[in-house]
Amino acid sequence: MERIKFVIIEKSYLIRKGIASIINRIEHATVVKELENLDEINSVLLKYTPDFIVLNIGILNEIGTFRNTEIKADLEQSGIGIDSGNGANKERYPGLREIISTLDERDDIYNKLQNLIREKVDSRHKLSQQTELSEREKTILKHVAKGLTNKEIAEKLFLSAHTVITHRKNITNKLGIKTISGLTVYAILNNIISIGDLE
Amino acid sequence: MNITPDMKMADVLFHNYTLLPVVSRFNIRLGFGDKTVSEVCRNSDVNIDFFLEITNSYVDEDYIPQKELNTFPVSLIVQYLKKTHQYYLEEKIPEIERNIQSVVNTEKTINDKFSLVENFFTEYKQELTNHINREETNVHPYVLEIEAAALRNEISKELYSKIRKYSINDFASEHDNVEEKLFDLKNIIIKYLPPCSSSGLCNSILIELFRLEKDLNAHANLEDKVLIPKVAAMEEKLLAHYKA
Ligand SMILES: [Fe+2]
Ligand SMILES: [Fe+2]
Repeated sequence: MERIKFVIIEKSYLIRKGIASIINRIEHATVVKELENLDEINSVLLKYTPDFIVLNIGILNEIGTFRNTEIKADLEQSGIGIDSGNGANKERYPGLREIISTLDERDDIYNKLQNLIREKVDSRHKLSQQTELSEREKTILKHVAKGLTNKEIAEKLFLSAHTVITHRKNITNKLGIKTISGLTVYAILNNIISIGDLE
Repeated sequence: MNITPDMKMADVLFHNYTLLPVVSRFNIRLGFGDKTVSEVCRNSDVNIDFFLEITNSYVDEDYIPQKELNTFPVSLIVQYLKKTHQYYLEEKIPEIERNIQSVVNTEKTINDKFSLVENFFTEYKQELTNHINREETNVHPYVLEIEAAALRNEISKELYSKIRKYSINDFASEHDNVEEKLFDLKNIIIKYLPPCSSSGLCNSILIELFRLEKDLNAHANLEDKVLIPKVAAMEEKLLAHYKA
């Protein structure tokens, strides 16, 4: 099983390293990138496609003023806030999936993270059990094989780029194939596209 | 079980035959008799600490470095990385390529499908070659230059602007993952291709792909988790020194 990927955005070195070492210690989980601020966030999200984004809640205000970013749409599902103040609760930050406070006890932190990771592992497992692609997914796969970018596919099918990315993640989970060349071979083998279409 | 200096080298290989190519990269030849790891390393002029860290992390993914891998000179790491590149391009890739070609030549009923695999692999080979060329022509000379400057603790104006222009972290963010495609290829052969009648040949292609993938993983870890942070720290020091 591919590991559950985390990106951490936290200015404090101590907190960043602390949370990273906890995550890396949990089975199936790995920190793929640590950032101090939002500067490179868009390219990082595209490159690593993380499952969870751990970020200091102080940064949330900045995201509010961020335009054209993929991160906003995703945070309700994948955002884990770090509260370095005095113990926040989820209710105060409805846009996030979970909140971890620097005052939390060890077990609390592990429980919160482990639950999220377990859910993710389970849902991936379910997806990999169902291997049949939906018609929508086949259409998207066809365009991927033709070499279109997510953005181009989104425009063609009148979808948001975010939806296209979600479909692509599901295709990859169902087939166990990540790269474009791999997906292309699959598409040809299964007559979703013919070699002629690729010219 | 960790590999330690006083174990017999022969026993190490009996327990972990996957280390065979790794040991060769250190120019250590077989025929050790009962010599221990430390004796063999001494005779072959190999830095034993480096040898232990590399072999232990190769056989055990969860191995925690005993000595900070960061204490080894960059030049030693680069030398090892180069040897590994050579092993990929001169041994492993041609070997797998030959096996794929034999399947295409012998399996008449599925060869149109298998030629997709052949194309896929040709594409992969090109990608890996480009990846390696870039590291050897740009990155390796650069990191050696940084290390030399850090040792002298002096930084020229040229080097300063070089770091400003393209630092090791720029390389890190562009350092792409060359294992993914191999993973896909295995998956395609195991799950989606019609079966070959000569299953032996297909199995040996798969086994080689598994091994290559594991080796590439260890290699990328050495680049991402050891070399890059080490060089980044040196750059930081040099930059601070320049400003002072
Ligand atoms: Fe390399
Ligand atoms: Fe590399």
